[in-house]
Amino acid sequence: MSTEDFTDDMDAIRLIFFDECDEQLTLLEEELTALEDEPENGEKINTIFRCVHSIKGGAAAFGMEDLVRFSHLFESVLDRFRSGELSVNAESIRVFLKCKDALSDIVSDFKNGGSTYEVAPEITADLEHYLGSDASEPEPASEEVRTEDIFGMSFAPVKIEIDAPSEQQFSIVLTVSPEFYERGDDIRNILMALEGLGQIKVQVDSDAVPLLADISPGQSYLTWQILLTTEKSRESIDEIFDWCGDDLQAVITSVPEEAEQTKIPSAPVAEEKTDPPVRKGTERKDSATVRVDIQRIDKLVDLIGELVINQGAIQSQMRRNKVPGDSFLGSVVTAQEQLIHELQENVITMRAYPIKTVFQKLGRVVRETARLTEKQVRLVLEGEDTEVDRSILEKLSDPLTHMVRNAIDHGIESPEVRAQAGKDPEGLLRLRAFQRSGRIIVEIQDDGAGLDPDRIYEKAVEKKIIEKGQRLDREEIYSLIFEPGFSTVAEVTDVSGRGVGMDVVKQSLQQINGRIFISSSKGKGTIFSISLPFTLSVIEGIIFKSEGQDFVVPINNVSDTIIFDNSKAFHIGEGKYGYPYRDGYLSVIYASDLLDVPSDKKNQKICFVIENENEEKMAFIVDKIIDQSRFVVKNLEDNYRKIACFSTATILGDGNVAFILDVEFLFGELLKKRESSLEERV
Amino acid sequence: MIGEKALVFSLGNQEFSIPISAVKEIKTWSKATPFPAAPAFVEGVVNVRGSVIPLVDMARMMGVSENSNEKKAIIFLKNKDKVIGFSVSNVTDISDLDEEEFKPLPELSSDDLKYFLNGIQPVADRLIFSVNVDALFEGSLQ
Repeated sequence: MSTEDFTDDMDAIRLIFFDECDEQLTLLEEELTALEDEPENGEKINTIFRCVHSIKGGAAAFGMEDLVRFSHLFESVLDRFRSGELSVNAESIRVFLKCKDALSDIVSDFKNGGSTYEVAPEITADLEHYLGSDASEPEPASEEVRTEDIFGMSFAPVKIEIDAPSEQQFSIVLTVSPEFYERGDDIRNILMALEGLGQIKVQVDSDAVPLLADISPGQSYLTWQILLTTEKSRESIDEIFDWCGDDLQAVITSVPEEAEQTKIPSAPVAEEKTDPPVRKGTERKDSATVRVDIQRIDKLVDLIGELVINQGAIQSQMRRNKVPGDSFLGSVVTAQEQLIHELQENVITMRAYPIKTVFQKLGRVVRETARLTEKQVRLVLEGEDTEVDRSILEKLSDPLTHMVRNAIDHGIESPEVRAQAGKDPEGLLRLRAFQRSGRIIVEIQDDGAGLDPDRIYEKAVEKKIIEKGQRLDREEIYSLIFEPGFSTVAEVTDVSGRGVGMDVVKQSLQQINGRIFISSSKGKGTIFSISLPFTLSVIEGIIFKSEGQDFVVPINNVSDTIIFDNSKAFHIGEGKYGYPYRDGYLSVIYASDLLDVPSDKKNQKICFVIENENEEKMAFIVDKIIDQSRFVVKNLEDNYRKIACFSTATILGDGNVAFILDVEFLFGELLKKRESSLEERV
Repeated sequence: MIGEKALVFSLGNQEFSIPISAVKEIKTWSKATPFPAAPAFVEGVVNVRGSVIPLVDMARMMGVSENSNEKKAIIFLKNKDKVIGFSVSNVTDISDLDEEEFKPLPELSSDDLKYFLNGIQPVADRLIFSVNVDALFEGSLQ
């Protein structure tokens, strides 16, 4: 193996380590938040301890000394809480949360190639305070020195564990039930695990094996007697057997050192393990998971997409050959379609993550923002288990962060103001996720001052976004905050004024087909709701024909479909037409014009009333509707670049490509045309 | 690099070559799905086993000939994670690629063509123009 390969491998392992760190940190945050509600729960402290411990373990393996040092310090403090020497209260949870933030800082620093990291002294001082609380010298004068001491000391115990000379011997007698093998386990795994702890001597007792004629193939007749010489504690042996549950009976006895040379006791009766089933229930609440490279799942999604396309091909061929739907072939193909549909939904959920991963990062944002703005904020999370496609989740983090900052900075009032208004000085920020009619809704709700329509209006006039005197309803006024240029340098604060306004939030949500709505009431608070698709890889759409070519329009952009009567269309200006709809008129866009093909517009019979995010409508004229269906979305930028009018494409049953209409782009174009014609006149 | 092979194809009556390492697939020419506002040399997009891939008329893009020649084959090339299909008149054969034998293009050849070519490789009584894959992709994505 060349050195290059070696470093590649190391890098890969490092990446896995960081992945695991992220998982542990998420779990840590989760447990810490839960600890606030039930500080007495010892199991939570245990889990927290284990998280920090496993980060420390990994860090030691990669020589990240600063990380080892800090996590060790943290761990030592947690150990005091775990052992019951100290008890958890609001203050200690605050310190733990700070430490967790510091840990994630160190981890991300190392992840980005850093090699040293200084933890803020006040955090280590806080921790050190817990360690020193029963020490005899609590004088603050020696604080500085003691910090040094702790740092100096902290690395040592890791080594002590290795150097500890106190070898012990245990006798272990194993018997297994048939279920043990049925679960695919193997006694060798246990022996190997034990060997990892120290030296083992194994004897197999085969006395119980009956004559061949009497053997019941499912039964296990063997007993293993093991003499283990190890430096590790009794707990580490128990840990190995924890995994096996009831299917494996292990009788573990500690053998006194002087008895080293004695034979393995033939009938040891001692401590019986009685509690593993109970512990199992409380300790491992995580369901079994398998770590799979996300690219493999992406590939799976792609392959199933192709399966869907092939299915379409079969069905269109059957229609062409007039195969009746109730024939045998017809019913098999219909059943197959159902199966593929289910398969597709299942695989897409494999790519889904609970929104928790994003929400939990926000816990920190809330704490920091609250500190910077000197406000008191309580964060409530709801529906954290709601699952969202990974590709969407990735792009959700930034806008949500920004909105949470905004809600605290601009929404929630200072404790004094709140008290005056008769509110709880502690503001409430609620993040809620749930599913509604096939979309994911994420709400950010605060109980702050609410949006002030008059102020927004004034400001929009000031920034020349609207003209003075323009009549707008309440919703329209609220949506002004999403206009580019609404939030500007004038209101830069430490927190939310980082040069990104709500317009950027809206734009990034649009990229993932998200929509945002505001409801607010003055003095009571504001709710921003974001509506997101469940996945970006499949859309529901209507396939239509224009000038012989097939296209797809996403169904959520179509608000109505009507028969188009060309004689009712009227000329407005050069190349511009209007069409009556309900009690008003819509701008008309002919699909054939988009395609640059000469058309006599004779075949155009159908009018889609299409709608964008802002609920603006236009009439989009096509030749005919073919079908409504689900389409696998293919990104054009994968192999090409952005093209006008169509951001994505799909593959039809006949193998041809059909473009998916980008409705937002279309409205943008319409607007540009309007503006350029204005300029021409000027 | 000595020892590498090149795929030889024709555009009209001229012969060109491309390093075989860049070739992903060769298919019979079929009509692409056109899209609006595409550059004149882009025929549209095609579906290759579930991927949507742009199809470029190589002769038109390089300015080899004004009127589109008969197109019989599509060569799919891969460069920097992107796959693009190029329609050509025909795929002829495979030859050795030897950059040391490359001769520079004559001074008066058109600028467009020069941009896309590495040089001329004389093979027996034939003249084979060696195409620069990076330039092909840059040109196609404009």
